[in-house]
Amino acid sequence: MKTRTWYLLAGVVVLAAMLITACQPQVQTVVVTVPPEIKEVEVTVPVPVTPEEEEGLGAQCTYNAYRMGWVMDYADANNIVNEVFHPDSPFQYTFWDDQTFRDLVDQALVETDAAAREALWQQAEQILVTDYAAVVPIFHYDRTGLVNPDIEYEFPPFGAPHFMKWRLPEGRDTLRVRLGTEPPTLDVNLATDTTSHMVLNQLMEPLYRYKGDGTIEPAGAESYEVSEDGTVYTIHLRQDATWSDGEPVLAQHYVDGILRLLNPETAAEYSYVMWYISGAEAYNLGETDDPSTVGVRAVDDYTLEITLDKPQAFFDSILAFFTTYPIRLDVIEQYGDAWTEPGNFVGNGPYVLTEWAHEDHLTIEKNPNYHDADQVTIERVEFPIIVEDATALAAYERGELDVSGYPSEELPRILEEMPEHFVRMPRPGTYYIGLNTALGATQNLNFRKALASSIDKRAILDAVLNMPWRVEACGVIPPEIPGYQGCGKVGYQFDLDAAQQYLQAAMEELGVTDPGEITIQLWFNRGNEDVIEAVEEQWETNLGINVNVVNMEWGAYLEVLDSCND
Amino acid sequence: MQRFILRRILWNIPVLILITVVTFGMMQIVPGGPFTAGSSGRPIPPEIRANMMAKYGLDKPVWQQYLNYMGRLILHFDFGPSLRRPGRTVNQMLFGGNFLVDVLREHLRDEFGTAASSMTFAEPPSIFDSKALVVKTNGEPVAYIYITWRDRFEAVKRFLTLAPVMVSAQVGLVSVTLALLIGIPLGIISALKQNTWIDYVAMFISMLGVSIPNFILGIVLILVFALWLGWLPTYGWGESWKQVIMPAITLGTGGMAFIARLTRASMLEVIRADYIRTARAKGLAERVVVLRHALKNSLIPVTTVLGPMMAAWLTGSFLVEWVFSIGGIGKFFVSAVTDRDYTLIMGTILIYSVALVLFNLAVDIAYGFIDPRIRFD
Amino acid sequence: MGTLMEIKNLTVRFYTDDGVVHAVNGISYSMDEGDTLGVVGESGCGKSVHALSIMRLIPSPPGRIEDGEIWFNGRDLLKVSESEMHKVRGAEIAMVFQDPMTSLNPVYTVGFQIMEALKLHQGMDDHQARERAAELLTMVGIPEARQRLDDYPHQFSGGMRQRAMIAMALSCNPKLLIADEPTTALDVTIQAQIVELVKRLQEQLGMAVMWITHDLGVVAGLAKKVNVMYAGYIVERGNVWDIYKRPRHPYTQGLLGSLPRLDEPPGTKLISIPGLPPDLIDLPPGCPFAARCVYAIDKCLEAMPPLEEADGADQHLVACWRWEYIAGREK
Repeated sequence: MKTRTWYLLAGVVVLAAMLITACQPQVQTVVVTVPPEIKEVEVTVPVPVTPEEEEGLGAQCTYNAYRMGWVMDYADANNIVNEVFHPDSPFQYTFWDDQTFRDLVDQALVETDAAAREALWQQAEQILVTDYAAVVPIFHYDRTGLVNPDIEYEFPPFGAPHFMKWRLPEGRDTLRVRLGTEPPTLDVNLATDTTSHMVLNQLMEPLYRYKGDGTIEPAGAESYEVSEDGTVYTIHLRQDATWSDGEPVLAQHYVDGILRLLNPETAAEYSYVMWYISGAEAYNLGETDDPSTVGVRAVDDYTLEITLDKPQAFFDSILAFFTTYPIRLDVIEQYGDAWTEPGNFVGNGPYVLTEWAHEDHLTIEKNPNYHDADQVTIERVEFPIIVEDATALAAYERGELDVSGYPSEELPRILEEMPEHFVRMPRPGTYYIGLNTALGATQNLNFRKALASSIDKRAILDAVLNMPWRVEACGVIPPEIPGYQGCGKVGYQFDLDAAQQYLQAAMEELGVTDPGEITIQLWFNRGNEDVIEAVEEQWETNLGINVNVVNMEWGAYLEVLDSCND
Repeated sequence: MQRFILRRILWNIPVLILITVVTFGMMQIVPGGPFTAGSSGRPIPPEIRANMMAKYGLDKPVWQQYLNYMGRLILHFDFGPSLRRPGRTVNQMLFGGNFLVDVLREHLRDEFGTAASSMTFAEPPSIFDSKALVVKTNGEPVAYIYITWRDRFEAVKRFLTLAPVMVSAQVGLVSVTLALLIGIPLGIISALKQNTWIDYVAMFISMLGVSIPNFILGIVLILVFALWLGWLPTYGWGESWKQVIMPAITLGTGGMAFIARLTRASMLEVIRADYIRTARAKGLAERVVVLRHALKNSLIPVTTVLGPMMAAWLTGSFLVEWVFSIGGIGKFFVSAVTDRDYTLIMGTILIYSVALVLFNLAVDIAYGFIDPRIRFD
Repeated sequence: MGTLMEIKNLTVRFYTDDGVVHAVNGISYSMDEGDTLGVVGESGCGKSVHALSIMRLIPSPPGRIEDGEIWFNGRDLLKVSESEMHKVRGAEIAMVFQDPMTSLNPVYTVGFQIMEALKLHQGMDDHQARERAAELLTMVGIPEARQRLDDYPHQFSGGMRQRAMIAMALSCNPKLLIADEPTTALDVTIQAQIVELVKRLQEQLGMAVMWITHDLGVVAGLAKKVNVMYAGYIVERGNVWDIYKRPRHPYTQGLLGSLPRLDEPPGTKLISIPGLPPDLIDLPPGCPFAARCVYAIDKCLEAMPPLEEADGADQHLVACWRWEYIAGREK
């Protein structure tokens, strides 16, 4: 009898403990301490808050802050300052707006002088990050991995590496590069992810390509001119380029590629990058089905002409982007969906696709028809697909791979035992927290400034992420991009005194005496727990406010944010 | 018995249809669609997303999409295109595509050399055809190629060894076999030597097997046997028999432990039964008493469990395929959902449902053989 | 008739977590060939345990045959090797158990289970064994024996199952058949049939039968000799007639007295023995029945009485200090 009662008691205790721990405080709805109408706010820097359009703030759009990141596609600040943070951009969810910013962007797009353009972007960035504090940048991305130190390698800042420039040590002719997933597609117009491009970059050649130092060099093209008014680009192609089946590469092929990218039936994800071309957007959205209205044409076999709506000074960067790949319509028609299979695929790059065992590995071999084939020393590249990082690391340590990733927990051991294998490659981009300027406490500018000033980004990078080489961010333009200003010149640095001042000013304006009365919601997607929890903790400790974090799966996350953006 | 099987299969058809309806519905409810985030990870602008939805027919009303899907599935056994791997169909991803085409293509290459790469088939050949029309890519006929029994055999053989469903089944089969071969004897010995050190050691091993997560076990095995000792290949499947060992151990140990405990418990009960005493009273040797009289009875609960276990394992273990980079369908169960690849989701769920139905049926039939008190009426 | 089996001082104990159970406490008796012995007593008196120990089927972790000799066919069964015992079980001594449903393996046919013993002990092949099994089933009164061989135990009725069990036990012509409460689980009419069957078979085959039961009526109809057991001891032993007409031990008297009798008027009160049987873990040093005995004196509590002759007839033995006094009172 006695033992039985003890068991009963133990069971009750365990049950009670489970119930108590399960009842965590639920996400509370935002305590709106300020009536959500637009009003003039007194700020230290007098910038008028322009009235917002009806944003349709839905019932579920209760976030005050959301985490996001952006990796740049090409070497111009337009790609992030405008394409991401323009008030009309579908990629941002801050509900911010400013007329001066809009004007600056319009100006910068047409400014052909590089230095002047840089200055314009910098001014725009200041408005976004400093004057409005609509986003709080945390750090700038980079890419790390393991590469066999006996190999001569080069990683350009944009896009995938070009293995034709790599050199293997004596006696080896095969390079083994790990892929972390099966490439979703090798269709030139549909591929958007890094894995597909790791392979595609070897099979195809765009008009221009990025060198290791970030400048572009001719690849499929030899030279180009821009018309006086800056809208017409005339590109002269090299005449010795051939496809892997021996056919010469002609200007019409480039036209076909761009048109297919824009064809709404292709439903290419990155078609919007080419909307600068006249008639492109209309064609892509199905407003017209006549491709001849799009401003690309082959003047002759080796001359390509691209006409833009308005002069876009950065367009030369687009020439090095994969949206300018040429295609062979005849091949695609012949094989249909199977045109990307080995044996069918025809490319104009230094390698041909010889093997693709789906979900298992790919193999590419040197293209004998490539115009600079004698420059290519690596005969074969094998791409085994190893999804789990730990397995890839084991294979790498066993000598089965030349290029691999690693699980982040292994970083300290790697740095200690094999530092010469560790490679840090540029990957321009910014990890940031966007602030909702239309809801709750984050409507207040001083409050946003307080938020921006109270994050110790260095500590997060060093202690939480264990990445002491990473650069903290105060602006959105990354260090590799012209126009980079850096902490001290743009945005807000970690400064607790300044943060307190902003906070006090904000509290007065909000009519609040205790920071604990302010509650905000911070949304993020899975995988970012460590950084976001550090931010949450810092905000709560340094400012004394309440922060509720909401974690969502990536697809659901974007869906909700998107729905709020309409 | 045939009536029994037939009746069971017929009963399960409405169940499968219900599963498709529920799955279809759930996919619509889950926030985020296949084109909310692009494969680059970025959000896709709404206009582009509209293009993509239209391309795959996702802009039509849901009931219409459902009927189209079911029609295609039932009439042509076509699971549709993958939404996240443009250019690939779900049939290719799950079943590996048409192996007969590969075999015939090899013949073409032997016959015509490089010219063969600009030839294709007027219609995709199947193993039930006797010949296939070879045409040039512009449609001009070239020749008829006759499909021999050897070709059919080769195609079927490739399907059984290379198709992702089959790869998953292979991994599962090896693991189940391992689990049974080790688990049942372990359970029997533990039961017979109850409360001795043998029992304790065996049950301790079982406990370990059940508690250690597959993921960790797999990686530790790779570390020890592939990296440190170098005895076994690091990853992969299908190239050498050595690749079978670690995945089988990783997947099998959990099940082995479970089966061992189950067998032990069952055997403990059975060995105290009256009919065992009778068997001994007849003068039968103890070995015969255990293996003939006790074993069959104690396997009844194990058989029950085997149905769902085999269905789960033979449709691919996500973790094992992930860690060892095995090209089965296991990882699609998870990746299809995160990618919101609707057609792939339906494909994987249907395969799993069918497997479950079939294996449970097999188990029920097996019951009838083991326990005559349960027969199929 | 020669002596078939002689048991000397058999002692069996069970070592459990709650203590040591003295199940059988130094019993001795013998059986002749062709004898019919009834072993009666209430539940827990050790009758089944002693039978199992003859076959050495006592489950060994808790149970242990502590002492004694069982002479059967010229050898002490308690000393022979296990493989020797395999030859004895089923072939020389066979046993039939109480519940035929659980005593037959449900997943094998009845025919298979009968043929097992035949193949093992008599070296028959499949065909011969099948023939013999059909014969046996017919012998025990199961109609359509040949078809029934392929039926499973659950397809038989209770009485049929027990007949099949008997067939199985007899299949190798054992010299001794031990029946441990074989009819307790069956209803009365079937019970009578089984008893008749066993009697007939015994005459036919000339084997000895030990019938263990708590039912005195069955013993009266079947046995020639009776052992009365209580708390692991044999308290009275003798011919059926002697025991029933002139029971000498108070316990036997109580047992018989508690039976309803046809020759008494209905409504006559049944005599029941007051008290409960003793705890086998905590046996008192003296006579185990003393606590419930109306005739008990101090000596009864101190020492266990030996079995000694009563009535001058050497077949009737009783273990009681006061049997003469009790017998005298009756006169």
